[in-house]
Order: sequence, then structure tokens, then C-alpha cells
Amino acid sequence: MPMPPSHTQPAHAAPGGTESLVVATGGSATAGGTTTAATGSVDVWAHHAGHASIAIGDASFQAKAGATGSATPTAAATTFFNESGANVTVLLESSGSTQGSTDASAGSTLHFIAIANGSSNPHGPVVIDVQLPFHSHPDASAVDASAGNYAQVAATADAHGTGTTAATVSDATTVENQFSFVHAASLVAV
Amino acid sequence: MSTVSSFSAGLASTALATGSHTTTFTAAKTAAWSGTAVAYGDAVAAAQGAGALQTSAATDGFAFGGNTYSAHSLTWSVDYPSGSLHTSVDVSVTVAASYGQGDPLSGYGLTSPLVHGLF
Repeated sequence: MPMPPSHTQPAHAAPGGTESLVVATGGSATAGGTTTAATGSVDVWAHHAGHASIAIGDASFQAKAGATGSATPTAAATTFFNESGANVTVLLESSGSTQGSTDASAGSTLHFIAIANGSSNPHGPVVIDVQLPFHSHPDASAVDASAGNYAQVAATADAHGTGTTAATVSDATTVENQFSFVHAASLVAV
Repeated sequence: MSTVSSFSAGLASTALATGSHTTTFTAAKTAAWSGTAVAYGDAVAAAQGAGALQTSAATDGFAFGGNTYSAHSLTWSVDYPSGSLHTSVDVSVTVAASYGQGDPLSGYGLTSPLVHGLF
């Protein structure tokens, strides 16, 4: 029961932009078995205010699988974060997995904040006032993995400021009684 | 690495820090007994200086045996300037466990305790 991926690209690149902070984040989740569920979401928000740029976001991927008979269920989930040009970065990444004889689950999530202070005084004060909209994340734990094969993914990239770039890519694939797979990534340059 | 019967656990932790002022710390602990295997490890790398800094902390572990395997890992990375200095800290923690289909008392010679007359 694959669901179409979603894309949100509120901002686009301005030719000749002078981006100083580039962030790419995302992940993937794979569940193999007769009943599978894979979900993922990526949210990135970035702002360029002239003297400083900031990017905040998170990525979360989960996989659940069940199998009957001699088949062994598998579940894997990963996330990644890459940045360029940041003076300050904070990254918290957590992952886990459980493998049983009839069921398996895995999850990985990360949260990050990256700041590029391009002012003439790189050690001057930077005041950050961010009000993020609420995003509803797909969650495999809320999916009944005992019925069918399910995949859902969402990716958003929201960039504000002149000369900014935002892009997303996502895939959701299921094969009946075989596996579910999701992948998503978001990129911002501000 | 610990091994008991068909249960085993292993863990590797590495920490790397380059800069004028650096510190690293790693720990890896494993335990295995009949019925359960557990591995825990952490790594911390911190560096501070005016020049280029690099820190890396990584942990990876496994536990084998039984019918259920569970693993969790957490990484935390902070990189920020402080005055004329730059500070970078990386932390990584991993826990892995495997359990099920074992007898936790087998190592104590109590696999077949006589309970006749106790109930």
C-alpha cells in the first residue's frame, strides 16, 4: 500500500546567490518480511539574515517487519547529516534496532542546528529567534505492521532569504509480502 | 569480547581529537552468560584551540545468541567558537544485547534443581 511521497519547496535558488551555509540531511528505512512498514520524514528550515545563516531540522526513519514460517524478518533504518560552512553545529543522533525470530524493528532519528556567522566580527553576538511550524511526522510505530506492506515518506526543505536554495528527494517502494523501503533527503543552501 | 555457550558480545570504541588541547576517553564493557549477552561502550573526544580542530568518536557493538537482538546507539556532536578559540566535542554511546532461549542458572549448576517436597 505505497503512498505517494510529498515534497515542499517554498524557496528556490536565485542565480548568482552567495550561499554560505549548505546542509543536507535525510535517511532511509527498509523492512523485509511478509508484513512490513517503513516510514520516514525529513524537515529542514533555514534562514539567511545577511550577517548570519541558520539551519535547523530533523530526520526520522522507522521500519517494522513480521514474518511467518521459516522466513526471517529484517528491519534497518539510518539517517545522515552533512554540512558545509557552519561555524556552530549541534547534532544529536539516535538509532536502535530489535531483531526477533518473528518480528524486527529499527529506528533512527537526528536533530541538528547549524549556524554560519558571516559578519565582519565573527565573534560578535548572534541572537536566534526561531518559531517553527509543527510538522506531523509519519511514525511506523503507529502503523499496524501485522497487515500488509506499508511505506510512507515526507521531505520538506524551507529556506528563507535572498539567494537561497531548497531541494528535496524522496522515494517509497513496497513489494507485496516482500519488503517496504523509503528514502528521503533535504538540502538547503542559504 | 565475552563468550558463554552460544552467547557472545563485542564492542569497539574509538576516539580521535586533534588540536592544541585535546582529550579522549573510551570505554568498552561486555558480559555474557547463558541466556543473555550485553555490550556497552562509549567514546568521548574533545579538542580546543585556535587552529584547525578535528574530533571523532565512534562506537559499534554486537551481541549474538538467543532469539532476540536489540541495539541502540546515540551520538552527540557540538562544534562552536568561543572567543578566539574553537571547541569541538563528540560523544558516542552504544548498547547491544541479545537474550532468550537460554538458562540463566546453568552456570551455577542449578540447571535441574530438585524441588520435590518443596511444594
